[in-house]
Amino acid sequence: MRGRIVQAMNSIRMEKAKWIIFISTFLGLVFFIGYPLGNLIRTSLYNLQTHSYTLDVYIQTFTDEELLGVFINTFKLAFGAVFFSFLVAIPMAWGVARTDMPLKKTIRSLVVLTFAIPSFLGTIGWITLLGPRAGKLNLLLVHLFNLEKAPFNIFSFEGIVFCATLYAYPVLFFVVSSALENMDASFEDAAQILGASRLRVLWSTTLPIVAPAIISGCILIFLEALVIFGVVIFLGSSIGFDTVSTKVFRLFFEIVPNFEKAASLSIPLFLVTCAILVFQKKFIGKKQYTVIMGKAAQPQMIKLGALKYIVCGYCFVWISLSVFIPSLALLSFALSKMVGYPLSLENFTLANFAYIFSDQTSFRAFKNSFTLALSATLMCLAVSVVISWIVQRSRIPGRGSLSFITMLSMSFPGVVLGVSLVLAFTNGPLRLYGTLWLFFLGYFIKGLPMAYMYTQAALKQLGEDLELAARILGAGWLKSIWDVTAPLMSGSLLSAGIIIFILKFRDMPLSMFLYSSGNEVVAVQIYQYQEKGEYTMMAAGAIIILLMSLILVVVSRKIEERFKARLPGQSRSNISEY
Amino acid sequence: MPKVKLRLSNISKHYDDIRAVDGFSQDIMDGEAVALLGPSGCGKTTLLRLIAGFFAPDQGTIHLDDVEITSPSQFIPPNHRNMSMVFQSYALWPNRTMFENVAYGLKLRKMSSDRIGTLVNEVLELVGMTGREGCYPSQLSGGQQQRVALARALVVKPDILLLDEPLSNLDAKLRVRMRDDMREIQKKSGITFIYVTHDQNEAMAIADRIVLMQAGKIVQVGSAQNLYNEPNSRFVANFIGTGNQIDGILEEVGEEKKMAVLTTACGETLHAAVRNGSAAGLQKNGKMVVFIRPESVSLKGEKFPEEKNTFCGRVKKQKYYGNLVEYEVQTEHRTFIVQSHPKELYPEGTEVFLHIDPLDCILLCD
Repeated sequence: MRGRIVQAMNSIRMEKAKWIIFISTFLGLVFFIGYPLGNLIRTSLYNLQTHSYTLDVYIQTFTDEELLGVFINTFKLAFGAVFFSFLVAIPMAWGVARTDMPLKKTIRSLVVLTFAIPSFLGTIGWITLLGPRAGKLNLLLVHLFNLEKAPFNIFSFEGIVFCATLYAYPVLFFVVSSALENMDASFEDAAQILGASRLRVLWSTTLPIVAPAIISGCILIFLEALVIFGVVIFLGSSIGFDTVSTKVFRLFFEIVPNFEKAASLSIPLFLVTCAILVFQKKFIGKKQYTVIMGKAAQPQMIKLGALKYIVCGYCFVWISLSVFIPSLALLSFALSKMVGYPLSLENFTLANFAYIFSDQTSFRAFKNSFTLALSATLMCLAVSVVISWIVQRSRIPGRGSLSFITMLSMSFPGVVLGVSLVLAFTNGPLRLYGTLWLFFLGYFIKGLPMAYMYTQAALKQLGEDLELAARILGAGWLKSIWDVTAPLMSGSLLSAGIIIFILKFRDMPLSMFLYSSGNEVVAVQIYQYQEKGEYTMMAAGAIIILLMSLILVVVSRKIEERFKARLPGQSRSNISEY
Repeated sequence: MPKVKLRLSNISKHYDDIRAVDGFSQDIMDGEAVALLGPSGCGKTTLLRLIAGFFAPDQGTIHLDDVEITSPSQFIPPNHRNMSMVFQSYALWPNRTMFENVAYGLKLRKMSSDRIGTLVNEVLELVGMTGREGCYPSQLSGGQQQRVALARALVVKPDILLLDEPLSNLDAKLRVRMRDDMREIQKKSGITFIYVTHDQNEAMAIADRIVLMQAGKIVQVGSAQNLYNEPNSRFVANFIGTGNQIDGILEEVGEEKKMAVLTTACGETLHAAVRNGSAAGLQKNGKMVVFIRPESVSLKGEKFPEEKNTFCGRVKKQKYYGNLVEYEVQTEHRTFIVQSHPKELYPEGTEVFLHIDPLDCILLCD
């Protein structure tokens, strides 16, 4: 016991500066993440009439048939997205990772591009194609086959599941294809040499080994689809289809807002997300059998014969549906003078783009999004480096709490975070509502877990000895971080920064809550164009975001490849990090 | 008379319920090469990192040149200890060239660039790595990286150089060459080396003195010869080299307490010389172990003239290593491992005779 006290005293003496940083980071995280969450729970329990804490609102919520229907819709959509993503992603991943299919690299890169397209923009693209009245593809089909009415209606539950799947499947594709590629082939070789047939090897060896990756990927998609906002708000509004996210939004922005009900709907969503993440960490995370050290035997490629062209075609169909077709549809809208006419020389214009930059509100939205995304990203990176360093490299007791609070913010779906922030910072100790500071805070909290995952992984790869080598040669701990750790992490930080920047620049669910007049950001602006029926402007804005995202995704991948090549043992990159 | 460079007094360090280092005390002399040897998990690397100052012990003090550098009231951080270290992973910074890696410590000491250039060139010459200053670590082989790591540690002229299993990532041949080179460099530079390893051959080749550790404690300290020939326990005898162990009961200590006579459980009689210091623990009817090195067993195709410690058996296995032959010889009650010169070979199944000189028997209390 005495020894432990002495040890603690020594640590305190040694690490005074580290303690100051630890405590201030801890308090900062508790205030900006813990306080809004606590306040959200309080609001959901507080009865304004009786001024007491009750479970009344929860009882009302769970006995209200309409709201129960909203929960059912939410789960129906999430399961649907998982099911169809599975059908799309698994054959694609298998084709790319384990067969002799042509154009594998191209397919992989094109699926990465799907990340450049936010689901709400893809959805807008599909509205222009499959809208029941003016959808161009529908009109074409009616014309070609002499149909009485449009064959497809994107404004339907099926349409919502379709759009959700298009932008969710890449996650499963990357997780599973990486697992298949990085799997040590000697497991399969061992089964084969003991007499198992190809099919039996696949069934009894390959599948159990990659099963945790498949389940992990499905869980990620489930979580994403559970809180998907843009797709539902664009496609569900006209048919009265709501999920928890959109219902919370409507309750919050009703003429007489119902904060308690919005909060009571948000809490279950938060709890479900937490529970799934805990389940994934406890039961799935431990069962990762794949070898990613780069020393494993390379898996054999299965020769598909003529079938390889079919598998390749299958991949291209889905990439076209998620990337090319909606982007081209948006582009044709963005370049049109009038909606509803085909894109021809008479109908061609660049005025929509010019308008975006000349219109004060649009320009302000782009400027705000750019400034906010950039500053929040830098803040995320700086804080996540500090947290990662304290958690991994210091020996401060209780350092794991920083990791816990940071990852807690991952369980905040955008909508829940939006509600929490507005409730906490409108009348609370710090009044930020109505200012861009609230956006900055929201983007920071939403981006922090991702930045933390990147920096933590990058720091782990570096190994402590690199820093200790500088320490023993005479560098103080800050100097050793500055000289050794920071430059070696810069590649990962830069590519993480770019990804976070893209996601925050075009963020929709959170921004819809934080928005107040005069504080426009791009996603809100695009939503407003759609609400006002200014479709060409909406498409032009969308194209600008798409192009920006596209360029940044490519740049980030290049940076990551360049930096990874330098580090020992990093030749086989793990793209699932995206 | 060399002075004490590093004094470790009663150092202990726990990790939860595991005592990684347990009451370790030892003086290390100036210019000495000391190996901390022991199996995995014996606490040797923890001890090295405590000396470096990467963390503090739970108890104990460390003095460097009579200056207290670690104690409950004083803790000098690693950057102010003037030590350096060669890591098992080498820890060369992948984004810096070989020159930049080596020059880093000198830059921290605020030397002029001319001086840095001269010193870096000198040390690279010492480790045999001139001409590739602009290469990045990934462009160097394992052995070359190891040399650069050594150069980086040596160039700052440390009071003590700590080496944490620096050869474990090299192949067997290169390891032998590097350990000889390292010994040479240590002698030339006169720097005090503390060398952690689990490889007894490496420890024996590099160190003036070996500190053998088990479960965080010292089990024996001495020269390589001392540990090999006069182990103080069955653990030491087994860890340093291999051998034949015969358990027995002490019958008598005759010839002016210089010769012990033991009886084994099978009724064989063994004679073993009593060495200095081991006579004190001898008790009649006490349980003893006789440890015999394989090269101490003489082997012939015909009977030995001696009567004491002779056995008859058959060759069960023969392993030919070029410079020696190792036999497993099955006698009536046991199997002996015997190493002999390959000039005369005994095929498997041949009848052979064994003789062990009582002077070569290492007598240990069980």
